Amino acid sequence: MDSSRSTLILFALVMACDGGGGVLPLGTGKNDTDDADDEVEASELDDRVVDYNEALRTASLKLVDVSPTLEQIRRVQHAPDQKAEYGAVLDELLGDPRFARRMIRFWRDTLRQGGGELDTAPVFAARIVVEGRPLTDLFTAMENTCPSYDAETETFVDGNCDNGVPVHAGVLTNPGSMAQFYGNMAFRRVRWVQEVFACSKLPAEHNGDPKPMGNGQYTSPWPFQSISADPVDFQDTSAIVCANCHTTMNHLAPLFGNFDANGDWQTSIQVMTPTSPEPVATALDHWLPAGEQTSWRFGVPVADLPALGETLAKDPAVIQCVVARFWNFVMSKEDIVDGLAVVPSEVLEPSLQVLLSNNYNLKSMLRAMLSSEDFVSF
Amino acid sequence: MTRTGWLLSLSVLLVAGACDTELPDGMPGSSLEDFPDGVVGDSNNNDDPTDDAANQDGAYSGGEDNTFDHPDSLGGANKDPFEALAERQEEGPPEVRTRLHSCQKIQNTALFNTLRAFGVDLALTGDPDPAGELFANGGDALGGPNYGSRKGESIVWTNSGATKAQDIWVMAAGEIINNLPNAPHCQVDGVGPAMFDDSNRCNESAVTCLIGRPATDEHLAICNHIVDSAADPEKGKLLAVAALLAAAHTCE
Repeated sequence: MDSSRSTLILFALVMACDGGGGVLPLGTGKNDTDDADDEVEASELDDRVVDYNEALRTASLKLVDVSPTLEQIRRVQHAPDQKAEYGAVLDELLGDPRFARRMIRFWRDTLRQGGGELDTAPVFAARIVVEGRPLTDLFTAMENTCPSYDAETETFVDGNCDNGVPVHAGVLTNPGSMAQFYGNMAFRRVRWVQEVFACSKLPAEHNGDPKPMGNGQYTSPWPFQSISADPVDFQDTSAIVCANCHTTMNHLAPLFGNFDANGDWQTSIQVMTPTSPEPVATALDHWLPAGEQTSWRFGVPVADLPALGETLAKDPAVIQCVVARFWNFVMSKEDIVDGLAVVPSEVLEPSLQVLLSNNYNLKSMLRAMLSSEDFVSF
Repeated sequence: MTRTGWLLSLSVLLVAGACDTELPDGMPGSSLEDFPDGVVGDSNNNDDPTDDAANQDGAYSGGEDNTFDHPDSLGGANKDPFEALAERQEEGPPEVRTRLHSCQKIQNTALFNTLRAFGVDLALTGDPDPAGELFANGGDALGGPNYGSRKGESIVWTNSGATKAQDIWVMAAGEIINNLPNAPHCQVDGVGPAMFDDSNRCNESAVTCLIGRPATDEHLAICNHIVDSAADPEKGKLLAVAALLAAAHTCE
């Protein structure tokens, strides 16, 4: 069979292009390289053809992890109103128990954790989608934030996180997440929140008026002296301007400092400061000088993780980020941060409007995305 | 916004306007004006990833003596911003390219489920490795997740992943031909199609089920041509089924 491999690959590529004029190959650029101006590019959208048969195939793979059954294919193929029949099958897929398992995988990949104790956050997030709860529960739920999924009965099972947190705040206090992103001075946990839920790398804040400083420019809106300089000199500018990122990070990290390496909440700070020759337990003044408040952003103080959760739930940029992540899932794009698969806000507007009009119900939004002109056109 | 974008927005607004739901207290509101314009995920809003502060060489570190170790990413590999820029220059502006489907790798769970749905025994072992064994041992090559390294499943094909998938489809073909009539996934009213008729012609219903969409005359012509081209029709059937499956599952 090995001698047939090249023939198969060639044939597969030929077949893959059949009827796929509106499909971009991931990571390789598209086939047509000559459309340089906007008119040609806009016409590329108009040149797409609505194909509910192809949409059904893709939707089925995305929602229940298998191609559609022959019966489903025939229903859409022979329907007098293909759009309506496609919508009916879509509703069946969204109600299928396999959709729950697919959403758990979606959130495992999004949250970068899964399996065993690391599954509770993905399962919790998936449950929010499957049960049509507001996406804001991701950050604000105080109960049942560590559910499990019973594969035999195909149901979510209630469960509270037992990691000693005074008040839970959705995924922000999840033991698996805190264990997975344990690191020096809790900075990895900060980075996880920033990249997963704000959809951009650090630096997260820009003041629009860069100031030359040392070997670079200071771009953060925070006062330069608002972070500590000892035992780690976050105000160093000899190589890069550390404060561009650390003004944001140091005001957020103390909120996550009391989780130990297992994700359990303790009454004292559990992370370490990487001093030489030996690391030492982090103290609050390693992050911030006296008088500084913990904050999500400059001018947005948050006293604890529940307050951070409330703040994230009200932050339009965070809401947009979650919508963008689902859009990229639906349109087969790479990760918005690692894969640089950015999305213009205008493309997200119809989905965002559906989300706003349906009490932040992600399942309704997902259905709207899968019914959109963009999704059913190829 | 493009014409189709306006139409889509208008239709969604009309539907949304018919709903009488209330927002949670203190939420940004029901107006899109509460949300920032721009490109989500692009700090400069200029669609050029090479000038983002986070994408510069040494963005997070200066040298061994004056900065701590700062990993470039949370887990997975970062995309080269120059590679991304080159792709964007080919694919067009963000308001166009983000509205076109991309071709992503079929996810491993979907590959597993699809093989099983077509009648493949994924627990089967043997020499040479049957499809199930190839799949079981091919997780890394197929881009499976590594959550221990904080890395989700890849959606981008690699050479090794695509090759592994080809091998799996080839080894699965024989089982699929034998078992397809009994696979509930491909049955209508309890009756499943045979892959080939008595004249070694490809069955339209079987091809439709395998590729997940109605088979065209071209699909059938290609399928039949592969069978006819082989010195041995039985090997031709294997190649035809493997080729159909590989082609249909190149993009999710």
